[in-house]
Amino acid sequence: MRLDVRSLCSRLPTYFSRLYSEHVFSEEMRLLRPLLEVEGEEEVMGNVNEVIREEFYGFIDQLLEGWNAGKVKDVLKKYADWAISQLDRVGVEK
Amino acid sequence: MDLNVCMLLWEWPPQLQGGLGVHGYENSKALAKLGCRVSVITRFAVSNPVFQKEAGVKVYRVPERRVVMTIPFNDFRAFLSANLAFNIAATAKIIELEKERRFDLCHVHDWLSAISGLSVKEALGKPMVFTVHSTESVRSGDKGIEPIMNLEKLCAEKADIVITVSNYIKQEVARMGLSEEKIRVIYNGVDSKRFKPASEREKRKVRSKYELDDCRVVLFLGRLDPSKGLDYLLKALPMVLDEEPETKVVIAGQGWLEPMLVALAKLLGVEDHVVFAGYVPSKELPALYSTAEVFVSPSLCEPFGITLLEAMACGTAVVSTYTGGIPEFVKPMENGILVDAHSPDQLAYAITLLFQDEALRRKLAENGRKTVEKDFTWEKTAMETLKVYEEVLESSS
Repeated sequence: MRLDVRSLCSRLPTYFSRLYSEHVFSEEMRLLRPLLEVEGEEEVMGNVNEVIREEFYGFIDQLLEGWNAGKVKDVLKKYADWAISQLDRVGVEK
Repeated sequence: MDLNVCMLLWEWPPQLQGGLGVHGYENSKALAKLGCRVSVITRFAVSNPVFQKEAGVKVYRVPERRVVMTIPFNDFRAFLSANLAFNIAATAKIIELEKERRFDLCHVHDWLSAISGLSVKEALGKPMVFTVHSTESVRSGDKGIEPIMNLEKLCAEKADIVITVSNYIKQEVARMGLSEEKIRVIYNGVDSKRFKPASEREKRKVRSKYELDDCRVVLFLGRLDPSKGLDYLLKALPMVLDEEPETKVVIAGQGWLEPMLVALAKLLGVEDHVVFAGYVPSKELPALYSTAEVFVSPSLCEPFGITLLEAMACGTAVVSTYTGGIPEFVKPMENGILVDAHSPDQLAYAITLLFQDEALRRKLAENGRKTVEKDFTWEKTAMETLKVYEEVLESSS
């Protein structure tokens, strides 16, 4: 799915905990979803986390292009890898 | 000291939902008044500019441009992806600003901006201060999300100094395995020029708006979620009404628990005595606090409790619970009353006592205001934060 991540960032509630998510977060996200989808469905082929990793790597390269920030890119990619490795730890597929 | 500080905040007005946002906003302004050059990096907000200057603070909202990614939908995946996008964009913005700003340090608030702070520290070698407003464990009653707890621990370990908003949160951070020597407690504050007792005219307007007539008024203000213990306040109400039949409880704030609280009020037969005020604009809060004779915060878990301080600043007697950071500033029978959490009986007794003993109510209210003026100002919070910055820079130079 193509998501507008900036829009998601803007609309998310601050408070997020397992207790909260179990009761309401899913419902809030269901309501938010139509506001976030752009350019229709896109099938994700292969490993989901690999696809997401490529997206974030592209985002990092794009934002830091021309800043001579090689070390920052590497560090950000390291933390992005860690964060992406956590993505499937919690949450229910919609 | 002329410091250049990069403040990483997930919340900034208009996205204020809890203590982190209020603290970040007020402390940043107070630090700017003390001469610090504060640049806040916060998340994008629809209909708000990507850059603005407010009270001497430069505010940058990121990502500046639309970001579209292919992400299969899953609640946590979407949440963490958006947060990661914010952290990446925040880091890129810091790199961009660093060329001209030369930040002395980076100040991270809770796990939400930890990845950016960690990246800046590791890649640029900037000192990092980490303020913990609450922990995942506290927020969720020890059922927290493991990745968030891992990130909190990592950020606390890597930070040069960790600030906590209460001794209670200090102990929680120490439980992660961090040495207490690395933790400083800096309390939140209140703007006592804004939060002050309102005039009779202002109070009449509030009574009229919420149809309070001449009733005795109990106020709660905060997020409507289970940790606030509002069900215990509602269960206390029939006992209060036995003694004081003309009482109304105003519940101000929003949250997903609201429909359940409305249903509970009906079940208890007290719905005519409860006003669900919803979101109350910030500028109306001092008059609302002042209109109440008693402010009640029946929390089951509270890292600090800024609303109690705001009520005290407005000259309203407070009742709360022996939980979290609350007993660190509410002193029983000196500037408020504390009861056990989960106890409708004790809440009812405390509220009724304050209704019926005017001298006690006045004494607690006056002492409450004095407590805030003496020990809980944002100027004090900022000065102590500045001391931490100086300590960090001295040890890293």
